[in-house]
Amino acid sequence: MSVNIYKEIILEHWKNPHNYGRIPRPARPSLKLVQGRVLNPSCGDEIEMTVLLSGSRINKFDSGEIKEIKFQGRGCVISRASASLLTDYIKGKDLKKIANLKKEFIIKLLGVPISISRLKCALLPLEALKQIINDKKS
Amino acid sequence: MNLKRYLKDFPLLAKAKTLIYLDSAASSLKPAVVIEKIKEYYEQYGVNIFRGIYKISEKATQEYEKTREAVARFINGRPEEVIFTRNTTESLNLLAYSLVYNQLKPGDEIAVSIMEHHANFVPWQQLALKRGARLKIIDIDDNGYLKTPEKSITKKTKVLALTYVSNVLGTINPIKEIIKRAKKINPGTITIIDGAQAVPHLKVDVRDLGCDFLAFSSHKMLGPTGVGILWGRKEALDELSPFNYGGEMIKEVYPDRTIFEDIPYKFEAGTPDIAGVIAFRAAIEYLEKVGMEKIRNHEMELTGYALKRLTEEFKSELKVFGPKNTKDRGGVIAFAFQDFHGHDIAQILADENICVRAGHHCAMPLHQRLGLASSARASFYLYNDENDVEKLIKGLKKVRKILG
Ligand SMILES: Cc1ncc(COP(=O)(O)O)c(C=O)c1O
Repeated sequence: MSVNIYKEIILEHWKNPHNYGRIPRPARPSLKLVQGRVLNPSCGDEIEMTVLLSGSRINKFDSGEIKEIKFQGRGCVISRASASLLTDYIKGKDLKKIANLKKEFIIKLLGVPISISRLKCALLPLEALKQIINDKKS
Repeated sequence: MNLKRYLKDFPLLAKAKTLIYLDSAASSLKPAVVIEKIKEYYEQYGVNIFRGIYKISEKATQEYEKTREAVARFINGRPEEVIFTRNTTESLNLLAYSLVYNQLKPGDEIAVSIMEHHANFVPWQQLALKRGARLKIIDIDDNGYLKTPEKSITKKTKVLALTYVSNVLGTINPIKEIIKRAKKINPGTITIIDGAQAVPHLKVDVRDLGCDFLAFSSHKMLGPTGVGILWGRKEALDELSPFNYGGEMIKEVYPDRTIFEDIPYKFEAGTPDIAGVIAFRAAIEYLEKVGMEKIRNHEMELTGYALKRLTEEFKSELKVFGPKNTKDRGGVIAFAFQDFHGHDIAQILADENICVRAGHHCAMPLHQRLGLASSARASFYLYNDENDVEKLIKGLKKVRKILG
């Protein structure tokens, strides 16, 4: 019996998600816009993330600060709260950090018990974020 | 219908008294007689069928074949027209690859509907892609009825594959009429009916329907998992070539050639789910004892009650998909509740021990058509009653309280 996955803080992030939307293409060449988009096949939900990077060297953004990050799409409370919390966490950090983020980290970030059937929801934003690294390489 | 009489037959319900099971469209619960039959097989004659010339193997073979007879009786077919597969999905794929694949020419057409379960959609879509055929998709109207299906049938229509009852909208399609009209336009059209949501809940008579093939699953009609049925009109089955080759399906094998068994055996290669098939008969007999008409009436009443109560309680906050008239719908209620996500609805209900399903219910094209990513679905069977509906309503109020 655990309705406590719908804790105040989670519901708050769901109702008023942080970093919601889409970043427009930047004008300055020292900034790069990259994006990732994933679909949850079990329910048709999707999340799109856009990230604004400021690199140290022009056109080569292997590392770089995440200046801005936004997400949008449709999803349940868990996936949206997870996206809201994750984007808050990663903003201002170096892009390299993304690769090291694991499932356990997201569960801790959410701070509520996530059952197996909801894990996919919780991890969807991280998956989208990881796609950003691929997008950047291409 | 005196429900109390049936409730005690289902160990899961008898044991977990607070369990509200509203997901029979995914899989039904099993009565004790079915579970006992599985045990009986393993304890008393749990050996392979056909090959053994000893008593217990003969007994197992007999029991296995008795199920075939029971299935035939249940849908008014003939035993030799009943093929055992693993599930509806396999039955439909068997048809796609053993019958249609070789006959399909570029330019041919396959007609399906937008309300199909993926099991009766993806095989045809893929076949059409592979063979350069055209997939024609029959649309629905705003009330969840098929829109002029005969318009999708032409002289080029090789296959008409339709669900009898939608697993989301609940719509009971006028299959008999549609087949009649389709055959009038093109007598050569092979008519394939997905009966997964129909055979468990309605009296289905294949001779009356006039279809060529009917597919359904044991696990949705009180039987074990692992057993599917493909019924085919004898003349239609004769056109089918085997899909799996191996043991059990041959008459004679020589180094350079093989003579296959007659139908239905030539489609049942390898050792089947013997226990499952044998116990499936107990499920059929249980349904026969209760009576399909009684089950249908009970579900119709209960669905009517649920639709009425949901509207009373939630008005426009909750939108039920599919026909309004309960005569035209099975015991399936898919709905959208405010803008809450199906997962969240199902999760909060789960915490109240209420089992519903959330997602696209393996009908993504339909959800896209409805403009939804997902929906929540409650579905009924003979063991559900008004109390379950009231519990659902109470649960939904809790959903609203938490998420609203
Ligand atoms: C209408 C319909 N067709 C086909 C299927 C597939 O059944 P199975 O998973 O037993 O193959 C289902 C089950 O959900 C269904 O509801």
